[in-house]
Amino acid sequence: MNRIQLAEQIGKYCVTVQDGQRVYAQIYPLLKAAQPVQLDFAGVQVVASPFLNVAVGRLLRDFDSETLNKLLKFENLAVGFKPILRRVIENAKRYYADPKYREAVEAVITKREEDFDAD
Amino acid sequence: MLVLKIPEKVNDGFYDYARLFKLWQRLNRETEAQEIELDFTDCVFFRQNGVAFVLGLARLAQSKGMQLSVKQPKKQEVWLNLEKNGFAAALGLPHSSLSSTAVPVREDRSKNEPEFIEYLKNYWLRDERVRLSDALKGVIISTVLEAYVNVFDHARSPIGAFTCGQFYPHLNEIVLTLVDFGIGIPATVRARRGQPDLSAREAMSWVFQDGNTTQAGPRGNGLKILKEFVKLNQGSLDIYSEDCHGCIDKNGENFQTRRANFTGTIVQIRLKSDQACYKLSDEPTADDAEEWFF
Repeated sequence: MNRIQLAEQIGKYCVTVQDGQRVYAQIYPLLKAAQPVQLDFAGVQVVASPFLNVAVGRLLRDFDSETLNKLLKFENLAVGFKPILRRVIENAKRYYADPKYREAVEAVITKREEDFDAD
Repeated sequence: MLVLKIPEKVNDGFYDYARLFKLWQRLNRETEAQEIELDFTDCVFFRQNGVAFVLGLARLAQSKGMQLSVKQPKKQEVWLNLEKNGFAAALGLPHSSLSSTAVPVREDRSKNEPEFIEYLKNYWLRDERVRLSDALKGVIISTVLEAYVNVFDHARSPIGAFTCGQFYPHLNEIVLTLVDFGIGIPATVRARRGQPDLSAREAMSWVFQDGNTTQAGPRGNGLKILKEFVKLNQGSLDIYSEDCHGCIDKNGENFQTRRANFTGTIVQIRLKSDQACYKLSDEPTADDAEEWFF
């Protein structure tokens, strides 16, 4: 079992997109090689959705739910953060489940960014 | 010189914000003045939201190249509080040392989550004030952080974010106000939906509904997480942007068009300071072996 101890690798606050990317980059190749991963939150004091969106939510782009349930486990996640993780997973699932919706969202947002940049 | 007269009383209700927004409108209209005076002469009552907002106004004026001066209030106690909470120091005015018990005003030009977390932990949620476990403080911080991150991900505020907090011992409440001077939530929603005629009320109401987001990628949970948390735990959330005032609490969500206009965004979070008031989740607790993906 590959255990990722977040307090050691990221610190007591797992909140930023950048830290989420670091964790995603560790998890992804392991899951790709069908290896089980334990994400250990022991010692982590604050967990926030920008971190979880990238570290966990993005995995739903690459893997199906059955694979993730089998290979990815969460340990020592404080009870107060569980609704946040649940919401992140629901949101990512909805987003990646419908490619047409996803493309439409991305297209509109890309256009918006271009419009702002042009201002 | 542009003189902005600070209202006599600045509490944290709608009419107080409406008066503050008028000051912002005057500053925005001003095109000639090289100097600005913040005139506190008649101010006798000035809450944390006023501190954050008026510091933001000062920075906005400075960003336009205006020279700033401050006229002190006749009521000495008001000025002492402005010294204690760091307002005077932030503007380079003479001040006594900061109080160890006041929640200082904070300004962030750019996003710095770890520092903001330390601020919440060490000042707003300090043990002398609140009867909350460390675990619960972590969840509260995570929730408040959603509003803070939103400022930098969406608002495009040229002068960043301004935060100030307050503790009400007799009410068992803690309040935090975040102010930004960016483009506002409705403008972001209109652009995202491609509907330039959407009213501020419609836009604000939309962005708080499940599944709606202005962000690319599987994101956009922040406001929903904040909303669910306050509803579940006897808190409340007030949001002002353009002419819309949104109020969310356990009784529901109410978005109204008001006769007051501010292009930026104000988020005011009111929570209980007693652990017994918190429920954390209305769902059964899942154990670590749970299958999370469905």
